Amino acid sequence: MNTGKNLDALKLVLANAPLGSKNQQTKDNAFHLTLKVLLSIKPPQIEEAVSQLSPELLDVVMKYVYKGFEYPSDGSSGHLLLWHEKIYNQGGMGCIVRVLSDTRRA
Amino acid sequence: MSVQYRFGTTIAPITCHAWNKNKNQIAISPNNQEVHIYEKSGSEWKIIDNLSQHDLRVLGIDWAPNTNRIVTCSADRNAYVWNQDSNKKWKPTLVLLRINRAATCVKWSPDENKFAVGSGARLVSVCYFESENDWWVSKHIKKPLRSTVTTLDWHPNNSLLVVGSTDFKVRVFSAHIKDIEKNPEPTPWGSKTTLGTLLAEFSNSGGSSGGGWVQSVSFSPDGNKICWVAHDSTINVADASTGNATFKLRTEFLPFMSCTWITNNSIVAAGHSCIPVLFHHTENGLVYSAKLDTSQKKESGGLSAMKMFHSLDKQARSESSDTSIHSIHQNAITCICLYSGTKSNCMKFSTSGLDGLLVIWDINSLERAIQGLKII
Amino acid sequence: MSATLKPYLSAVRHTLTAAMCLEDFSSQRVERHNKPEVEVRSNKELLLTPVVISRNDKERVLIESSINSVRISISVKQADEIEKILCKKFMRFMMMRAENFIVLRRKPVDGYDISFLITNFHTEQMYKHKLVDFVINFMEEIDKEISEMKLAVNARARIVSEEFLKRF
Repeated sequence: MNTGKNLDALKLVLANAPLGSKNQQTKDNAFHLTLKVLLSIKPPQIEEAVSQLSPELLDVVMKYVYKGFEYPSDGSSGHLLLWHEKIYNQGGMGCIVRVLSDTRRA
Repeated sequence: MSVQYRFGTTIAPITCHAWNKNKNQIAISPNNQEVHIYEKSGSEWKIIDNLSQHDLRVLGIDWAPNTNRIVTCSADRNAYVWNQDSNKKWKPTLVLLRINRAATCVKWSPDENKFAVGSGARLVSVCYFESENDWWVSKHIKKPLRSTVTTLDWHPNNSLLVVGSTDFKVRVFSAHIKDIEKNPEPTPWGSKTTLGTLLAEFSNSGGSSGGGWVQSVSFSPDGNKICWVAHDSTINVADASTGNATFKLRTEFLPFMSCTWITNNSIVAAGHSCIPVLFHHTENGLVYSAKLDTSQKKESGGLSAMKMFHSLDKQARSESSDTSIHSIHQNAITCICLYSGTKSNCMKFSTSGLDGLLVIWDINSLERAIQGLKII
Repeated sequence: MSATLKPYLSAVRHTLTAAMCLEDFSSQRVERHNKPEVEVRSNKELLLTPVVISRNDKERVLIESSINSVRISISVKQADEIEKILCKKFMRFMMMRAENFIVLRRKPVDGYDISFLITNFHTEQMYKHKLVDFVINFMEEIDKEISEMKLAVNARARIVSEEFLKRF
């Protein structure tokens, strides 16, 4: 990730998301990592990043965006709001509905 | 292309509707405990009867076309079978459902000698007529249903039942009653015929997308496939002839509430997005085909730039707020029925919803009007 | 700061529209009853995942949904003591008249300032998109009202103290 390959880092961390895991520690670690990646991707690049994600990964990203809202830090919410808008443009209402109806939380 | 009707003067939501054989009479429930029967005279609908035996909201109506019987089920744990007597008035017959929660959905079997009722008591009652006592008795399918049954549909062979419920699962059961019928031919779903045998179970969770209550299920016209729509905005098809392979399509619409096959490969689904949508199922999978409602928003006269900017700034919306949305139905669609044709070759279907409208959609003219729309 | 307002409101609007897909559901626990499942919380399978949308750490919206009802809780920006008092009084005023509001809840959910409860009966009687418009409008107006009230209070305090101190 430090080499600036943010897009690939995002795909990697989303594909390995431990959604079904019962271990809260694993989930917390994964969450912090994902959040870091999400915040490091600059606003102009968000749209490009989103367009490269498959529908399943899109749902996963949305879940992490909502989880990120629960723990706001400096400026994170503003950035996450941008992510939310771009993901919604791609995935539509269905993406948000799936976050609501999924029983396995980020 | 599509014709709209409103019944009576109320704007109450239509909970459910059912047509008679000739499609000149319709039974609807206007969100209360009554069922109104309307008859078409010219282009108007006149109410000819009011069936009011239930105490609480009527949740399901089905009209058997050949035997001309109506079955209704309601939140008061009862169901009634209505027969028309010589005065053309409808008289109810009691059904012993033996459930202790609301009855949520009801469907006649294809041969119309029995019907199935789903309920909040986590079971399905399959009912048949016992002539000695002149009432309808029921047998229960209980295991392994874990939550309210929301929807069910019969297989064309009159013996299999597919059930969807709020425990995120779709199950195919055998609903064969040996007292009143012969054994059916074996199907790709399985060959056991005892009532209540679970032949197949499909989960709407698992994989990378989790649960969603099953809102509607439907058997394909040949009986080998089932489709279901769930609350996580997906539409799914399972095919028994290829070893119960399932296909899931995530849509960008709001969840669908109702779905039905209109040919052996095409499904129409409608729900909270207020428009019917067409999907195709081929060997490659399930694909979205088209929206069947192409209404444009009516141009509001003299929309000033100031008003638009004002609402943009205030509500983050880019059009002026008004009370209509871009579709014929103004609120969620809850029920789809075939109007003309059968499941294998439907020509028209009707939808009713929370806005109190009943709309009949003509597939042939839709095919002509919408570019690239083909029903396969 | 206001650069986040538009995306914030639009995110809340989209999430609300998704969460407000309600249908009639008779209670599984008690026969012949119809209760808002988000309040009763008796059956886990009928509840959806609650989501939070935050603009910063002070302003957030919690949306909890279920098969027949949605609970929306808003936490309002309160920058200083006087805004806190004004907010509390204003919310109390409205919540005491919750019956006239129809969709307002008499008590806010823990950790938030005000809560709405919207059930399938409301979405049957009223247009869903207008209900969502109402909530968004409410969120916008609250901030304005509290600022106005604060200015009014300060102005009155200034006038009163001027009059009082003129005597000396």
